[in-house]
Amino acid sequence: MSTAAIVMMSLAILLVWGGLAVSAVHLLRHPDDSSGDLAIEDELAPVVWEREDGRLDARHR
Amino acid sequence: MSTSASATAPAPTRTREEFTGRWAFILAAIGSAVGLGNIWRFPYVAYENGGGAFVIPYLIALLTAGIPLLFFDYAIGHRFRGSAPLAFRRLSRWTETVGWWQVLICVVIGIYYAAIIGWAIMYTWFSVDQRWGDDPETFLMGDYLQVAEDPSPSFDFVSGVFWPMLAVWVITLLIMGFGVRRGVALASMVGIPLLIVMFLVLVGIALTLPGAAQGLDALFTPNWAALADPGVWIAAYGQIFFSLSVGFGIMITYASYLNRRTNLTGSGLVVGFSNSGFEILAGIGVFSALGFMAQASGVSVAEVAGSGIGLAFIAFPTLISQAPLGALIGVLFFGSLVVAGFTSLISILEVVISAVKDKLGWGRWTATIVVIGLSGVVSLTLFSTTTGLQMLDTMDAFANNFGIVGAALLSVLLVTGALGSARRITAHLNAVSSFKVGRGYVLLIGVLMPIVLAYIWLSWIMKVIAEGYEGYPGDFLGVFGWGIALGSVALAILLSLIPWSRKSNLYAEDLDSEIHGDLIPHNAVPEGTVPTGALPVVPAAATRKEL
Repeated sequence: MSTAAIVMMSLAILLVWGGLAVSAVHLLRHPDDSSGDLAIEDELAPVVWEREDGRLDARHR
Repeated sequence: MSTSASATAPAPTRTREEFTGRWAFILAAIGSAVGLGNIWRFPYVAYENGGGAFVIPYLIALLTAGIPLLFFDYAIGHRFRGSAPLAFRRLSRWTETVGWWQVLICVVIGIYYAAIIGWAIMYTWFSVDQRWGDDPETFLMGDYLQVAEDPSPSFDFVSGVFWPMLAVWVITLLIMGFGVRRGVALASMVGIPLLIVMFLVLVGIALTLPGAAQGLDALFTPNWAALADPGVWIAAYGQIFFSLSVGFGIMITYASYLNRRTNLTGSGLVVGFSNSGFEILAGIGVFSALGFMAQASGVSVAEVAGSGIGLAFIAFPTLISQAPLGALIGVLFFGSLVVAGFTSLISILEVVISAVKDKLGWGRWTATIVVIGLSGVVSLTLFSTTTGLQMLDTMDAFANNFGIVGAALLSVLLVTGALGSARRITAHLNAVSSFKVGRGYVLLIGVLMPIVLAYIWLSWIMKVIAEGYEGYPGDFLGVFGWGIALGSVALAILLSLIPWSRKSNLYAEDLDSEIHGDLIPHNAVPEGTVPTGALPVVPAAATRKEL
């Protein structure tokens, strides 16, 4: 194999499988319950919904 | 402020099926994304479009189109909690047609996909004694498929195709009848690890074959000039788009089976990179094997490189006959096609079953038996005959290039353009996910995606109008190409005009079930409105500003 081919193969493996490893670790560190703006800890977030006319409505818990 | 549905609506009586957790969902989504295209399409597309240099447009396409579209589908399915038609109906009463178009595309793909799995089952068996002899092409077209010269439909059934196809449909029926947890998800939880192990062994063997380095050299040597060719970039976007199972209802359907609290973008990143990870592995395996074949035949890799049915059922049998451990390579290669095909077929048909369940309010087994039964009969009638190959080729081209691309284009244009709902999508993703999306994401799905998809869609249509397709007769293309493609759109419009009955899941499915636990208040539906499945999707700060 030429050097250029070896470099590009290594780069492809590193970027794609590296991306997979990083995203898997990220997911493991972010459980469903505590992820996002409406994480369970966020008790102060208002309840918001959309009315049929498309406007938003909200109230605090 | 009431937490019940509208005063006139009956109380919901059903709960939606759910995955056991996000890993079951991730494996099912990977099972769907990793299909035949990863194994037989990616390696050749990469080789043809710049070799090693293709890595750059490919990764850019993954990050700017594949993963954003995956998030888009997840957001629609998860937020509106329905099969494609139900989710789009809840988004707006005018968009239900898009969902039915996606369902009908899945019907078309499902009926021919089963045929390829049937062939792969037989070739796994043929590999043991290399039944194809010295001439795999003649064996495939003549002895096995018995392809007729005239593509007009015939009813000359080929028993070697009919029986394995029947087995595929019966197995699919049994798996899918058991539901989302014990059928759909379990198939991928068993299938994906099995596929990875089989493919790793296959790649390991392929790498030790003489000539493997020559094959990898051909695949990965960069042709930097290719990066200046717009066609290479379109090929990269096309590969990512077709490979990830986005845009035709699968990810919408799977996301609708998720718990209300699920880290959507975090899961999507894992699915997107897993799919590409498998493609890279397939590229290494396939081109190592092709390098061996070129060396054994004394020709260049360019002369043996190919894709699709020719690669799998003609080139691979040739090298299986030449290679040491040929029978093992054959069983691993065709076995991988069977497993990858099954997990994808299940996801394609789940789009249809889920839509029928939602619209008619049927139970799992009833919907499964009717959908698989009807699809199976049509599939066996069309594709186990001597004219199955031409029909398969045509329907595949039109379902993908006209159907999937067209439906995806329409959905991003409607959601981000006509309905102006891009903010609802991003707000929902951010409400439950760890990897946040913002304005850049809206630009990707609202501007870049429509441009790329419109270019791919229109250029394909213009080419087929001008040149026809593969030299098939005009009346044949008129029925099995354009007829089915345009007929699907017309039928989708008709299906969306059928009203949702009180028994349908629009009304009968309980959005406030205990499964959603602490998110129950968020599902509150004010008096006098219909349940839209809308969640609180606006984070606190944004809400105060908006309101």
